[in-house]
Amino acid sequence: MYGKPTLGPRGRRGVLTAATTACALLGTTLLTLDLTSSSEPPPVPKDAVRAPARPSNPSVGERPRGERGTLTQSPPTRVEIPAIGLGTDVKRVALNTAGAIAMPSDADHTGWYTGSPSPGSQGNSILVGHLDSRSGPAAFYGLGAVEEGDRITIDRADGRTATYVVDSMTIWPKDDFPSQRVYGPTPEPRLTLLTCADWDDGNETYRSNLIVNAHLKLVEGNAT
Amino acid sequence: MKKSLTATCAAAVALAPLMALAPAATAGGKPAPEQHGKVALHATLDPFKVNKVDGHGSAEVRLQDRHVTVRVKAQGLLNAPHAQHFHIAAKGVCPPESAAQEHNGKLSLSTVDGQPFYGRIGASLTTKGDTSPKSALAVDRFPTGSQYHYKRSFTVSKETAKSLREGTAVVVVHGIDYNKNGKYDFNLGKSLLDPKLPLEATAPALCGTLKKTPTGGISGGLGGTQGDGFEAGPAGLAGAGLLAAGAGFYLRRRSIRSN
Repeated sequence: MYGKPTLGPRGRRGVLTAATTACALLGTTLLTLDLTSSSEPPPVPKDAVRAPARPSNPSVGERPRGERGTLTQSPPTRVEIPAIGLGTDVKRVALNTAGAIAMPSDADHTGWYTGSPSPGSQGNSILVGHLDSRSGPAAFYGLGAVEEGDRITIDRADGRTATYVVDSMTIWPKDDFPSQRVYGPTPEPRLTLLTCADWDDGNETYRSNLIVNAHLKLVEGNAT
Repeated sequence: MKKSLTATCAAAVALAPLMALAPAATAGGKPAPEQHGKVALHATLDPFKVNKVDGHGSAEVRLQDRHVTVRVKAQGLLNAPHAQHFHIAAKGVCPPESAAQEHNGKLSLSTVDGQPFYGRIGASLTTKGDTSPKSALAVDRFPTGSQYHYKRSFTVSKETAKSLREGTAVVVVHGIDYNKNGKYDFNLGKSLLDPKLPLEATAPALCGTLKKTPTGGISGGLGGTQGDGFEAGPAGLAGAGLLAAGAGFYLRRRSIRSN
């Protein structure tokens, strides 16, 4: 993109290029010590549905997947998806001034929206995570590789662990985002994970969100 | 060359915020509307196990100015009338089981026991007529059944609207069957709210705090793993001297982009 500029103050750019290249050479030397760092774009979910048709009555009238014991409220502390080697600590997040879910300050952590139920209890529990930071992969970098049937375990502050099983992966564009459908209450215990998708090179932003939905399989452990 | 250059200059990342030129905003969107704008809220209604309730439900509220549209879904309750309210202006939480007291010698949670947590009644979610706190025990104007879907639009008080916007309004569905005999009776004694009613008829069954439904998707990525921008990994940040390279790289990109 910047390799073939056709207009502009070439003299100034030449100086900048020279300086940048000099620094880059130094950096390259340092980099030879660590060439393993990933430069691959994040995995794209191969089974994800893109902006599916909306049901006429979203998230209403779904039958619970059987009555099972659910837990009382206790905040989540850690999420793991063994199939894709994902494991991060979970912090509390609220809404930002725009009304969207705020992101955890450390991109290596995931965030539990405190306006949603604790994982392991009834309803739609919501976790968000960065796909990448400015410098590299973040908490939910690998989420695009998740597949239907993969297990997600969530440790809670009360010492219990809730295990969910992935049902679906969906990509929704941010400019036509079905908030009620994604965030609304559900009659069954459900886990909703969100991260970004669809890098827009021109605007240097992600255009979409990847949504992973999972249902509660079991709860284990004794409350501490 | 492009790869190693961008890799080396990943440190430009560190400078971007200082230059107030962050390419991707973390929040985005418009400022939050305050007292009059539309707000969507929802709650998951959990049962009070201490009151021998197994049911559950959900509530959704759309608020604009002081006008609300309320939906409540409940199931697993006693087949009887269920008073339901917005409780407001307290801690905005459902009481823990430890708030239960002995009523007629049995550990259970009355509406009064829960009031320090969810507060006083702000609106009565009746099926018709008045929706003020005056209708708190209008038993003949509440939904009836072991499960029901309720929907109604009405206007709430200024205090109730405020509590809804603050996230401290709590939906409480009342009416339990503590001794599992299929009807409201006086096994827990009389209601503290109206001695003509059994406590079972007014004790809380389900409860949930109304929280704002998030608006739109998340901004969960800054592009650090995308090819043209910045390189991943700690090596990309090696050496303080790279900051200079990063700055040069960034300015160079800008000069191209400004064309």
